[in-house]
Amino acid sequence: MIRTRSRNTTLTSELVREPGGFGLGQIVSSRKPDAITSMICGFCSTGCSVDVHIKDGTAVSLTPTTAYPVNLGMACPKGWEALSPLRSPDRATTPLWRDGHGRMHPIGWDAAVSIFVERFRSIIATHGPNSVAFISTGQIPTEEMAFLGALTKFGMGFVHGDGNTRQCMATSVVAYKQCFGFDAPPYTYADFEESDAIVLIGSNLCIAHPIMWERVCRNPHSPKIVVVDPRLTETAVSATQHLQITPKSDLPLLYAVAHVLIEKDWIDWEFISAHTNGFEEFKAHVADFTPDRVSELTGLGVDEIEGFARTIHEGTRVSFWWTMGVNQSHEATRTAQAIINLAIMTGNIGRPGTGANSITGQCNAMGSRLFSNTTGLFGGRDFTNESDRNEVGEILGIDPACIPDRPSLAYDQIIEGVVSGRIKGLWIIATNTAHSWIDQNSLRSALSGLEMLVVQDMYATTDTAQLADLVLPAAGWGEKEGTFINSERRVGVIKNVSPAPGNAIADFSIFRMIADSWGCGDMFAEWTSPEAVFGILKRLSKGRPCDMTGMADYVTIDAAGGMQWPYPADATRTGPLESERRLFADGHFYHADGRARFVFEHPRPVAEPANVDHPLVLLTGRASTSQWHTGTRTSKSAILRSLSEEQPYIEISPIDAAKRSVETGEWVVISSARGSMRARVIVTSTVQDGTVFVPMHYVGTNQLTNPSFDPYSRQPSYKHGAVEVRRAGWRDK
Amino acid sequence: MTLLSSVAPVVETPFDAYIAKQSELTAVDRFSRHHANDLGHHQDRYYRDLLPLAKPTVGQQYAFEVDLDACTGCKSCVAACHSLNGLDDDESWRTVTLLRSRPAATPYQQTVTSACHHCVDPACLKGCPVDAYEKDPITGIVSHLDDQCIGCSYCTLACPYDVPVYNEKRGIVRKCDMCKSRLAVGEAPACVQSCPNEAIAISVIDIASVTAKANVKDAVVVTGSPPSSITIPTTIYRSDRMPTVLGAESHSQANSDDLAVERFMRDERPATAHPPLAVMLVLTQLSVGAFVIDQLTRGRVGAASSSSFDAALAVGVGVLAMGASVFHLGRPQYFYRAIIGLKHSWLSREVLAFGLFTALATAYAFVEAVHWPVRSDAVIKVLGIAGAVAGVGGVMCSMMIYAVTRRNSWRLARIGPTFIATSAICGLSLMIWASHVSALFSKTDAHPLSSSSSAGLLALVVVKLAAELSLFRPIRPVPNRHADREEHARVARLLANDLRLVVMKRIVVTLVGLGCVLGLLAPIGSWPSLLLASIALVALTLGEFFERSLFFTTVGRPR
Repeated sequence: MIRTRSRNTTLTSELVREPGGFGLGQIVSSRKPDAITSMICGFCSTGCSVDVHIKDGTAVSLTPTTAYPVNLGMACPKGWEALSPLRSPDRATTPLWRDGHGRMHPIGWDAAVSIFVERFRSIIATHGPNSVAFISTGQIPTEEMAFLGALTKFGMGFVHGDGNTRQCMATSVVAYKQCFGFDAPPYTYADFEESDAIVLIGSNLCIAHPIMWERVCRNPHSPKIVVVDPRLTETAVSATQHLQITPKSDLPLLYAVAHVLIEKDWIDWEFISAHTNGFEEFKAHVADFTPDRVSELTGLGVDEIEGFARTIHEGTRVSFWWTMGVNQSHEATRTAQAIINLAIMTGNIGRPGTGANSITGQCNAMGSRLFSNTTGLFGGRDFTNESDRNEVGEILGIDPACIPDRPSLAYDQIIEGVVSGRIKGLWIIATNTAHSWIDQNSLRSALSGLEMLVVQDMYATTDTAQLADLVLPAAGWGEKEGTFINSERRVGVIKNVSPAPGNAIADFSIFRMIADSWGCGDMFAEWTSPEAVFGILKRLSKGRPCDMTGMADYVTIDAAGGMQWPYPADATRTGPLESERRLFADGHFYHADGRARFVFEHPRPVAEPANVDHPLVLLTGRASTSQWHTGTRTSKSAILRSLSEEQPYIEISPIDAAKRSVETGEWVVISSARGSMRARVIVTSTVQDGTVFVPMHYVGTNQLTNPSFDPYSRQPSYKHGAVEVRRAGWRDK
Repeated sequence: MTLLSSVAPVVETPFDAYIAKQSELTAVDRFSRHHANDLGHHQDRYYRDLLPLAKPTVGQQYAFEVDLDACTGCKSCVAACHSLNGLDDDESWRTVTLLRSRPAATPYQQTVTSACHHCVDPACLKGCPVDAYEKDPITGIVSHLDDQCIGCSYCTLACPYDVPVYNEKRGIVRKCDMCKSRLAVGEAPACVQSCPNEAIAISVIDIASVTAKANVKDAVVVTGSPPSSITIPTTIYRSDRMPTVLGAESHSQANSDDLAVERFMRDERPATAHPPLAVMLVLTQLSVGAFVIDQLTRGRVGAASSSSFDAALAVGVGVLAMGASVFHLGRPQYFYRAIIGLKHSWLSREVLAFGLFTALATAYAFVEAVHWPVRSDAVIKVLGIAGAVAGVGGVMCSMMIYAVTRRNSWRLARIGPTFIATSAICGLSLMIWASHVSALFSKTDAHPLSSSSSAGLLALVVVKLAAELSLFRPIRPVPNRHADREEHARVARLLANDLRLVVMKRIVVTLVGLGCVLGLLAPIGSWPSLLLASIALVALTLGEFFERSLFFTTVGRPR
């Protein structure tokens, strides 16, 4: 009977929902789980928790954890899709070795480890320990990066190793160390909800950290929100005041605000005299940063600068937050410190809703900062400090002579070493240097010229893995154990909930195999499992600002909904510490005298100002919530791909577009002194005249960027380069 | 991809030991504290305030309510809809678009989350030929019956908001059902429960007042949307920050002209080409055109081939066309359902009309040829006229199918002449060809159609091609109608870039056809004429097919 409408048969049943149990509410029947376990998301530093739904022994789906103190039941698209990249058909499932003809061949693990050890040993024997290096990552658990750092530097005799965290967080590390005496972001996310004024500098929170923006939305105090950004971003639209400054004029602006605060006596003298050093010098320094003068530099009105200062003055709980707009600059460290200066001179620190707060990038950038053992020794220590080396040697039960007494080269210096031929063997773990590093054209040829390039990754298809001599297939997030530390210092657990494909294996096990094969396995006899290493890290943290000795084990951390450092064992006698804690409530900082320092310097010009040939300033940044960095994982999810522009695009102002006779939708060629890329035009007045914006996720973007670096943090200045745009001709297609 | 289960249990190398350990997925045993028998929903603490307190009463229904001030473009709603509803690949029932200020206006941007608007007068439901849509009389939720769907995709064209999406893997369309099973038990729809900023809520709306607002001239739900009068969408958008983004009566589309819609990703690419539909449209028009021309010229002095031969040819092509249309269905085995929606669906009516046309034209050709079972000329004449009427009716239904979508390039004023011209061009080409065949092979005194037919054909083709190429004309600024100008520019860009090849093909084959028709005007003998007529028929029909392909790929949103 064609009149009868067909219901509730095959196709309909595919989407039928039923109560999923576990308090999940209704979910699709076909994915009803038989167990649930929660873990920390492996993309950004927010550190959201997701409940992984397990059916027949493997993860089938996930939902955000309802009561986790970070994300309060929410997740961004990357979090929702965290399992999809694991199932991608292009996962690396076996080690691959490049033969004499340049072709990659699958080989066994034993052979791969032998080749690895033999090649690196021979390079070190011939060219010395300075000829090899590794590039670590903020994407693997703390235990793994600690093992990598210890194995290479203590066991294998490497001197040089740095992390991709150099690209995002190095500035904050240096800024905090110099100002507070330790790399210690002082806040907890509850501060977003407690502020009555929130200042966001170089941070497009809505897109880069949407779940932190959720916390802003939950602020019941109708906070004033000041956004300092050269673009009218999603966050700027939601702000009560948007200061659309000329690119890289943030440092003078912050000094001018300090100038106004001092001039109007809107500062906290009591806090300054009791808890800080260097204020008088700072006061003298900002004396000539008058709003009048800075108004010209920043393109803001005097009233806007004074209004910003007034907002800080009128707020009783003012929090200052910054991200990559500050960190990726030629004078990043001083800019971050100018923010810290504003917080400490107004007493906006140590109290709920306050703080000078750096928002981190990667899921475990904070673990990397403390325990990657790359440019700094374990636990925020110093390679050049003998007592630090002895302490670490003692804790680890190794001869302190095995610990290098020189700090490592930074990422850019390692790359420079590769380009100049001084570094001949490079081991890259879970990062995509060939796409993400600034000015990638000069880098790519250098990488191909290495004697030995090992890439350890989930995929053999990344831009970097395709240049490798040896690819080591790694298990990813969800296929192994360990801990991450999020932006607010919260340690959270990740778990093995999904079988890794083929012979892909946890980075931890790869390090173990290499240690044994290298012949230094005995040095790491205690490093048997991630949780055993967590125990070692606790010992390394004992008595340090980042003390974690009160975090008993993974099960305890998991049950507590994550635990923030410091969590010293002796503080927990009366019971567990509060779940959301901030630092410096007692006004006591980590410098020997317990005081915070005002650090400042005269602003410097940018490395490559806009010029006749390249009259536009190139801004780069995150453009969607569905793309993570170079997209090696997020591009594996069809739904995430559908949420962002597949083709590269450029935002250009109406005036600049008219000058070049280009309209929205047209193809253009963007060129800098270093390279060029094609992109489609979006004409929009959200970017200022003279500036253009290109998302960082497209591989062409870093062919344009200018390799200039902050001298203190060695962080690349991705946010400023000079380019020109012209309409693409037929030949450019 | 090898899975771990295939790894040998014998522990030999260090790798074997590590991978054996890795394959023990112990996370659940060690950590799990969740209770399987907890059938409630822990998330409800976050969305309690986002659901209405009471169910709709008479004259009311559920609607999405979106606080644009809280929508900051995180797109979690899209990902959560996909995940919580177990949808395929890139399938999600929510989308997020972006509104940006136009160059001259104050800088501004606004992301807009949208899903099905659960319209008061849903175009998907009205257009569906198989009644695979239903609107719940109490909740007002418009849901799709997946098992009833035959995959004709017509609703994807009929819905002004591009809500229903064709699912290639399953051969059907699927769409948002406002998570009605969740709502029924007091749980929030996936998008509502997943928005970190609480931007999406469910409200109960008053149908009469929503209808009245939607029928105000130029009213839209939010800037950039099609006119609300088409389907009476129910979604409520709120914004204190930028009230002009709203489509309330005081903020019609014209007033909020300082905002542009950024649908870069989707609209800058060609829409689906629907090749079987393009074939079906061209061939049904050829078939009807030829049959009608035959009827008009029947019995006239100078008429060419036998009418039954012409009719048989026409019907043959018509049957091919029907075949092509069945081929277009995602689930062709259920093609017979397509007649169900006769009361409201132009597609059902088209199916019926072309079915009648085929039957009547076949009967005509048969009776005309063998004069059996009736010999009466009057009956034959009536059959012929009835067939022609049914055929013309079918072509008119085809026009209506697209015209009622109110999409810009599918205005009746445009597709009416287009379809008629195609019928005339292809029909005439076939008739000319048939006359040349008859002239060569028929024993009767048939002779080819006069050169005036060829001249007429020539003129028709030239005019039609010129009209199409005029889309490339320089874009004239239209004061205060940014939207029209942008739409024109969008189509021109598509034609010049992504669709360049199709445009070239269209022009080249049509020029070839024109050349052949021109050749027919010269006295060149029977065989060369037949060859030219054959090439002309194929080339001109192919040209129309390319035109029809562009008809689908360049279509924009309704205005």
